Amino acid sequence: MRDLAISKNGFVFNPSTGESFRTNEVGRLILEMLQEGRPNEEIVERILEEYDVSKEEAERDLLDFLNMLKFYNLL
Amino acid sequence: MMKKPYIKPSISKIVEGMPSKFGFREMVDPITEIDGIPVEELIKKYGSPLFVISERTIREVYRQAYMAFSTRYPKVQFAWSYKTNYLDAVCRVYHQEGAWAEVVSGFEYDKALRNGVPGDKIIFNGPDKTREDLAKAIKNRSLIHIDHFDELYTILSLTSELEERPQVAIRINMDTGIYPQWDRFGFNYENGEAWTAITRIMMSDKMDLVGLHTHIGTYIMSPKPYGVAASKLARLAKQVEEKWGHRIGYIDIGGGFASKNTLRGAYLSGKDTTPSFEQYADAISQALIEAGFDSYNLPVLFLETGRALIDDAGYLLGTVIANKRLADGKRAMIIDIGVNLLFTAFWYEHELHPAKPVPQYLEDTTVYGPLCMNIDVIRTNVKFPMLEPGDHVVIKRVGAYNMTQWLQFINLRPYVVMIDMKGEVHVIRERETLEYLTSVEKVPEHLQDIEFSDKEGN
Amino acid sequence: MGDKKQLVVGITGLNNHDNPGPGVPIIRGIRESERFRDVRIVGLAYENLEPGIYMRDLVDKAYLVPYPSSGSDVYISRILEIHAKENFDVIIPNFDAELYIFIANKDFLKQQGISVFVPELDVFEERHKANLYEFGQKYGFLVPKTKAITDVKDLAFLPEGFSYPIWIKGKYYEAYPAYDYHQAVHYFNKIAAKWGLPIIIQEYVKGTEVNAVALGDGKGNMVACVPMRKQYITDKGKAWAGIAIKDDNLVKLAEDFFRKTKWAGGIELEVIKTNDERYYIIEINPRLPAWVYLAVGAGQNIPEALLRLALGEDVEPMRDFKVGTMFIRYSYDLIGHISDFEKINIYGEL
Repeated sequence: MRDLAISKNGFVFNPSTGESFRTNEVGRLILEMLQEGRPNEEIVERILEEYDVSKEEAERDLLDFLNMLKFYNLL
Repeated sequence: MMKKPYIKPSISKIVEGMPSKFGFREMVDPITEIDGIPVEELIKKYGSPLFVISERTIREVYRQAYMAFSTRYPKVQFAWSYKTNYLDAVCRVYHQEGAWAEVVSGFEYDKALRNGVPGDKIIFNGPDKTREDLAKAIKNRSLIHIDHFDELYTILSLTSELEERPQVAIRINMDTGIYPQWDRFGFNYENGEAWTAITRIMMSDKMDLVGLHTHIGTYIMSPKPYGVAASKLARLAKQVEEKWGHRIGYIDIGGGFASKNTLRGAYLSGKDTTPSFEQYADAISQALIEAGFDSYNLPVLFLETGRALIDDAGYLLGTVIANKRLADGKRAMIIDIGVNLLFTAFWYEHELHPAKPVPQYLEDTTVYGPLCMNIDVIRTNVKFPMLEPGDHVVIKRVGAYNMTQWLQFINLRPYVVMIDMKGEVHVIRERETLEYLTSVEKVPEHLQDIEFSDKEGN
Repeated sequence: MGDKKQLVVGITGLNNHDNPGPGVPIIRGIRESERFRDVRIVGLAYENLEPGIYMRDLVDKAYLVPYPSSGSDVYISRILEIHAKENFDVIIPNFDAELYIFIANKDFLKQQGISVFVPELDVFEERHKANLYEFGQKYGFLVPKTKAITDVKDLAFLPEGFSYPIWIKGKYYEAYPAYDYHQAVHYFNKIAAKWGLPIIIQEYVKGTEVNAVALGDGKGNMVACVPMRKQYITDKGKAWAGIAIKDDNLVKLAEDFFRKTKWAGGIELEVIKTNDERYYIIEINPRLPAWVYLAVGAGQNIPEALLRLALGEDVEPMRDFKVGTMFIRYSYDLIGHISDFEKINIYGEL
């Protein structure tokens, strides 16, 4: 996780596998916070601060996103 | 501080160099309104799912088709194919535009009469006509298109009971170069069966052979076979004239024109590959004009195209029930539209649109219907934006066959509304109710009383 | 007025791996032209690893474009988006499936200032694999029996006139000989999954396969033609080495084709020459083949001629070429970096 190279434009490169990914703005924010080792609650709080979204929706989407990261072996 | 608009977090793997059917930057445009009426408003008032028919589109497409043929051939008559969509309101729009009725059962025949179509402007096609149906059609001087010899003999036997001379045509199947060749309907051209049937009719002198009919197949993507079909029918008509001095009044080229839907398995979009009415008209009218008919006595060209006329006018509105991830990581979206309502999902890659503008982050999605059945798939692998449960979707081009082949299955069938030329919305078929459906059911006496014991385990 | 504007040419088909497209060899032909010293080559690619994207000495700039299956509205709007930046003079399409869109939008593109040199829709459709047999009958060419089928069941009871072995062919690409029903079903499913329906079945004619790359001016004249025999074929059926041969009958056949159809643009004729010297056309590909550079090497710069025709110039027919010229295809490891890959994926251009 910590090795992931995340570009401003949403390009994510995993140097240990050579795989690359595309993410969006909120996805990038989550990835960066995960790299800093922040817990899920803090990530959700930060999303609520910055974006116009309900807590329930943000939490559910974070779980879906984390599942995708697991699916891609990024977590 | 103003908060930024939220976009669901997403991540997808960049697939390296793999050829796929999809390339760069596809967009899925929202359809927010139909003929000026907001989709949200329609669903709010009539519920979801909801069939919506645009009267304006029906009329515009009809006029376009009529124009394409009538500018190329002087005598053209359309007949509305009832089985494609026989809701009364829909049929009546076509009849107002001047289309006759083309029916394939006693039920459809009666529906056409009920819609005010005079008997002699009804074409009665199909293999299933009962003796009673035929007698009625003969009395009404309807155009009976004979499908097989048994039917021919039934009509012959009726002529001794009835005063009216039956007005008949025969349906002919033939090789037009397309595959598969439909040979289950009518009499074959190449093996001489059609000529035998014509001879039988002419020799009987008990009915009038007024037309020749063919229907070469369905969803024909090329105009050329129609030219072949028109030539072959014209040649038969000329032969009849030479042999008996009898002039065939009309040549009915049937239907089968493709709509702009994309067939499952097709590579290019249907919007690009489906021939225009002009192209079909070119092939057919050219063949008829070149056939060498006396220019003062050209046969009338009958057309029974259904799908290509009505498909664009129909929309199906629905609602997202849930999103989920499948075991392989692929996204799935469940909507309240099932294959019981959208029968054509088995053949088409239906165009699916969100009902409001959404962020254009597209992901491969499988769209499932609400039925508890594995076959209930509306689209596989469609690039689609992420919608929330409760958001609405619009499926385009559903006017043909869905409102006749739909199944009442697991759930009740929804409202069908029509938006008229002035933008007024009319219910043209009520939403089904439990009472409506059970009104035709009967419960035997011994099953009337149902009692459950209050005690458990007894 | 200022200096003459640099000529800008868009070229598709930059794939150049085991199933190579003609884009890169066409670019090589143009780059070697004496007439076109200063051309800006803009590559139009479908996939992020098409090697042409990364060949900076041949391609000045590359863009990703949507697959033609997304519909011409989507496709053409992307072309116009790129046109706004690049100001194309000519686009040379090289991918069978996209030709339909270019032909249908030829006049519209012309209004926007982009010339495409492509055949008329009728003849383009007529020579289609599924219609090839009728094409042969109409124009008087020998063609093996061909039929389009849409149902795998049709392989169990072959249509009249067919018996195994037969060729199983995709609508656009790929072809395999099937010696029995089971092989046929296997290839049917394999091709249908990739290229859709219909699947084309074709009578198997015995003989030697010969090919020709040729160019027509759209008025019935043949501008160039080089016949070739494949010397080495990969398991995908692609020529990996070939030799320019003297086959006057084949040249005459190609000339006949252009005279009768007034085809505009390049073609690849695939022909089976039987032992008794009859020439059966088994396929007419509606664009230049990937091995077109052999023609350049043999003395006919067909890409240059195609570009001149697209610019509206008259081109004198080329007759001579060096018989015995060979091509030997090889693979080459181009060095790139993930940052280039990032750009093409995120911005769609490099």
